[in-house]
Amino acid sequence: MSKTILLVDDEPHVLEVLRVTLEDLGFRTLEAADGPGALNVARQEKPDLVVLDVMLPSMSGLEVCRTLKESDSDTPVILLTARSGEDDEKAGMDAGADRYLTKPFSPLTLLTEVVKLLQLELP
Amino acid sequence: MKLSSSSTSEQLEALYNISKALNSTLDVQEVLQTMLDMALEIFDADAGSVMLEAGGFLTIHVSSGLEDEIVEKTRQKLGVGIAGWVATTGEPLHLDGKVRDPRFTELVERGDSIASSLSVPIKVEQEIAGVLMIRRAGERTFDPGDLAFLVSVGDLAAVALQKARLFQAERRQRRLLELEHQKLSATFTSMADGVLVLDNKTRLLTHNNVAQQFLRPLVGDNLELFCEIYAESLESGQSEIVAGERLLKVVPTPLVADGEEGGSVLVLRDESASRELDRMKSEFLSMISHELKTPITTISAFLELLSHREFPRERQLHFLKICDEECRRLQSLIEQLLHLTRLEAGKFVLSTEKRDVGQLVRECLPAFSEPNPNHHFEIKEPFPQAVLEVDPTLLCQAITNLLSNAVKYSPSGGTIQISLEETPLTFVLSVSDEGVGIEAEKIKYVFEKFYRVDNSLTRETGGTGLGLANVKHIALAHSGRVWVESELGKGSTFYLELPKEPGGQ
Repeated sequence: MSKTILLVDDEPHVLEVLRVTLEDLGFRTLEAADGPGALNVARQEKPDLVVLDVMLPSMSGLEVCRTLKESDSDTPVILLTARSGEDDEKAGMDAGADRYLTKPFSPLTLLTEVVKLLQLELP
Repeated sequence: MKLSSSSTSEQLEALYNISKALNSTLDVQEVLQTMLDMALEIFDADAGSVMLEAGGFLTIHVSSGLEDEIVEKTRQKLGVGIAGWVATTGEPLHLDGKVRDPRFTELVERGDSIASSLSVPIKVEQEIAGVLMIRRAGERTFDPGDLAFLVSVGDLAAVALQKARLFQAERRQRRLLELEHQKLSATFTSMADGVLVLDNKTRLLTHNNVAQQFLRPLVGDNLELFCEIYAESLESGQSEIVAGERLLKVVPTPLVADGEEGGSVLVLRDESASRELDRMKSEFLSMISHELKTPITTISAFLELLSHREFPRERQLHFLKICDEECRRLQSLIEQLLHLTRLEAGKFVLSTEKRDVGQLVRECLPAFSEPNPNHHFEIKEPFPQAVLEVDPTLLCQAITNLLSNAVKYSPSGGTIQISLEETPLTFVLSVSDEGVGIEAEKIKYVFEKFYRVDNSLTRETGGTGLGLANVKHIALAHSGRVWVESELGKGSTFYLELPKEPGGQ
């Protein structure tokens, strides 16, 4: 059974490139453009992993991450953000993220992390 | 008291009385008048005057029994006439009968009968300050001893005059000092900086209200306590302190009085505003870097995918189209930045043409109404005819920025109303939304570069913090102005006013 990954970003083009990156390995992708939407989808669809932007409308990605981890600490969360400061990374890890990747990102690196976190074999 | 013959005891008494009277006032005019009145009484004279010297001329300062015209017109050159002679030589003078004396050149012949006159110098510190003259009419001449006595009266008057003059000078000086003090104290009180003056044992000598106000959150009204604390931090070189919501920069300067150092002057400067600007700048930088990174993220990720994976031709073209769009977005962001920099530097040359502002608004609108179905764009028709000399590209940018701002700050949609109204000298374009609104204390900042209303919408709207600053500068470039009315939670209305005549506002 293929794994489901929730992609959260307010930029449609970023969502699209994430989708293209992941779909090739047969992942099913879900999308959300803001925090509340992401939490909603996560509750209903129980994704296996979440790729989460930090600067999101109406609710910070860090807050989304904390809320996700509170209800289900086992689902890995990868923060993918343009905020590249050390403080930002620390805040991200403190919010419970499993990985902190910065934009611009390499699709290959993202895939590698996803595969690792889901304990899959690279094809 | 009248003195006809010279009795020493009477004379002494008279002098004593004069001296007492002269000492009762410090007003120059009053001193002179008293002296003259007493002299006239003592010597039973009919008329008299006191002339004072200034700039080589004698003029009558007080008089009795003289015609007003004479008093006003008399202007005796030193060395000329009787008074001129007395003032120049310093000699007293007793004259009886009509004067035909070769010593007094250019003596004015007068028709009245002067029987006898006494003139004595008024000497202040060896300088002749003036001349006291008394005279009798008719046949009554003065006694020979009278002149010597009048000299004593003149000497007494001189002392009183000098005293009065010194007093006057001193009073003038004091008034000047007071004025100076008032000016300094007004400066001290109303300057924007807080000032504390300490002695060399860091005890508080004086301070202004601003200092008290600045330091109240730290030490209440106990400024002495602050000085005690500060003595240490001065040694440790600390120059910034946080007092309540203020960041104060403390600038100590040695206190120099009479060329000697003793104590110090502490100037407390409120740096909060410049820190706020720093904060806005760094927030802007973080924002702009996020804004620049977003398109680059898309482009670089697609490029990597395209170079490592096989895609059907159609998908390749689709990805490339996205990359192209993101490149444009980058370019427009950079343009906007440069644009603002140029506008701010005032180096922008407008390329103007006659255009109808209402028409420009209609042209800008579709770019917003189409991608924002949650917003209802309402033009308050009819627009007045508003043909102005404008730079259409810039004005469109301003209108676009206002519309984009209205959309961004009303995330739940609602009506965005656009109106154009005519005033006697201007046209006012307004864009109002039903969005989040702006807090009253933040309104003044919204047209500042870098400033973005600091709430949860700040980051999510993806603005650069440049849009409204651009609008302001575009308005200024057209001799117009911008302002905003807003209520938190109810929405905002932004106004852009353009004069009918360029430079007419």
